[in-house]
Parts: sequence; structure tokens; C-alpha cells
Amino acid sequence: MLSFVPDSFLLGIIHLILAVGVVGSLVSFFLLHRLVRWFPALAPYHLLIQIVSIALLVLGVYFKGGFDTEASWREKVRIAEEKARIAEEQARVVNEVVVTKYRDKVKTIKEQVIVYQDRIKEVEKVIDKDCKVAPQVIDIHNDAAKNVKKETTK
Amino acid sequence: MKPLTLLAPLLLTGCLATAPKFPDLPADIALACPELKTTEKNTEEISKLLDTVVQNYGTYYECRVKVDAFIEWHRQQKEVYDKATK
Repeated sequence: MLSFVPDSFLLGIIHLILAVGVVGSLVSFFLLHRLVRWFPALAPYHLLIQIVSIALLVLGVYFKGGFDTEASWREKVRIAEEKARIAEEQARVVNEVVVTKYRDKVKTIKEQVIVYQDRIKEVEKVIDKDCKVAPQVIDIHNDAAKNVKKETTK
Repeated sequence: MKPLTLLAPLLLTGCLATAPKFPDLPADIALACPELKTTEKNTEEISKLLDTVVQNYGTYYECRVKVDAFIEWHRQQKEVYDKATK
């Protein structure tokens, strides 16, 4: 519920309680016996004023400490959120850079494969005329490509 | 007292809200490397065999680039993540 109350308003209330507590305590402990001479009607409430003043002082200090602790945690959370936001932005940039570099390299490799295939086509007739591939060569090649586990010949 | 322990996870909501998440691997790099191509059984032309070999070399280099990209991606993302969580 307190989170809906503006911080400045809450801080104002805390300062008011603290101030009333401090002033009330000082007055009730050091000045009230002199004031009673001029305002005798206050005499029956002397003890009550002292108790209320001390209670307000203690409450004020307690609330002030609580508020400052809350504020310091909020600040830590704010810093952590800011760090997380920066990290997310940097991670996005890293992703973009790495993926772009990767795509460019793959594109170059694919283009190079086409260049080599074109070179094969250029000399296709010549090399096929002079060399026939034995079936064992295909078998060995295919086994190696599939990484087939076979017993060693030795 | 026991029902109060159910409220304990609420204390962690602050951590959940602020901890940076390690990013997911980009889809391009997350794909596995393809199988190498084979040549048809009764092929006699060396040009066809050579064509398959060339394609397989291409596949190897693509895969190598992918692994290099992954290593680079992880190194850089780790730097960013470590800096954010220190």
C-alpha cells in the first residue's frame, strides 16, 4: 500500500514525526517544568507528553532508518536493472555482428564451391576419358563420408 | 508458521526482475552441421566423385565457420554477461 504513496510525501511525514518527536522530547524533558508555571493546566499531562514525545522520536528514527534502507535497495535495483538493460543491448549487438560475419563467410564458401564445380565441368570430358573410378573407390569414399566403423585390415 | 514459508518465493521476485538473462544462441549458428554427401554406387566418372568431394569440402568449411562463430559468440556474450553480473 505504501508504494502507492509518493516518496516525497512519505518522507515529509517521516520528517514531521521525527521533528515533533525531537522538539517534543526536548521541550517535555527540559522546558516543560518552566512552562507549567505559566500554563498550570499542562501539569497533569506532563508525563503523557513525555511518553508521546519519546514514542514519536523512536517511531521517527525507526521510519527514517526503514525509509533510507528501502531507498538504498531501490537504488541498487535500479543500478542492476540499468546494467541488465545495457547487457541486453550489447548482447543484441554481439548477435548481429557474429551472425552477419557468419552469413558472409558461408556465402563466400558456397560461391567458392560453385567456382570449383564450374572448374570440374570445364575439364569433365578430359578427366573422365582418361580415368575410370573403380567401385571400391566409391565404397571407401562413401564409408569415409558416413564415418562407417569398419574393422582394420591388419 | 508453515503457511508463511509459501510467501518465501515472493522475496525472490526482486532477483528475478533484475538478473540479466544469458542470451539464446542465434538460430543460424544453432543448427547442426549437415551430413557429408556420398556418391552413387555405380559411378565411374571421376568428375562426379570429385564434385561430391568438393561439396563435402564446402560442407566442412561451412561447419568450421559455424563452430568458429559459436566460439566467438560465446566468448563475447560471456564478457558482456560477466560485466553485467559483477
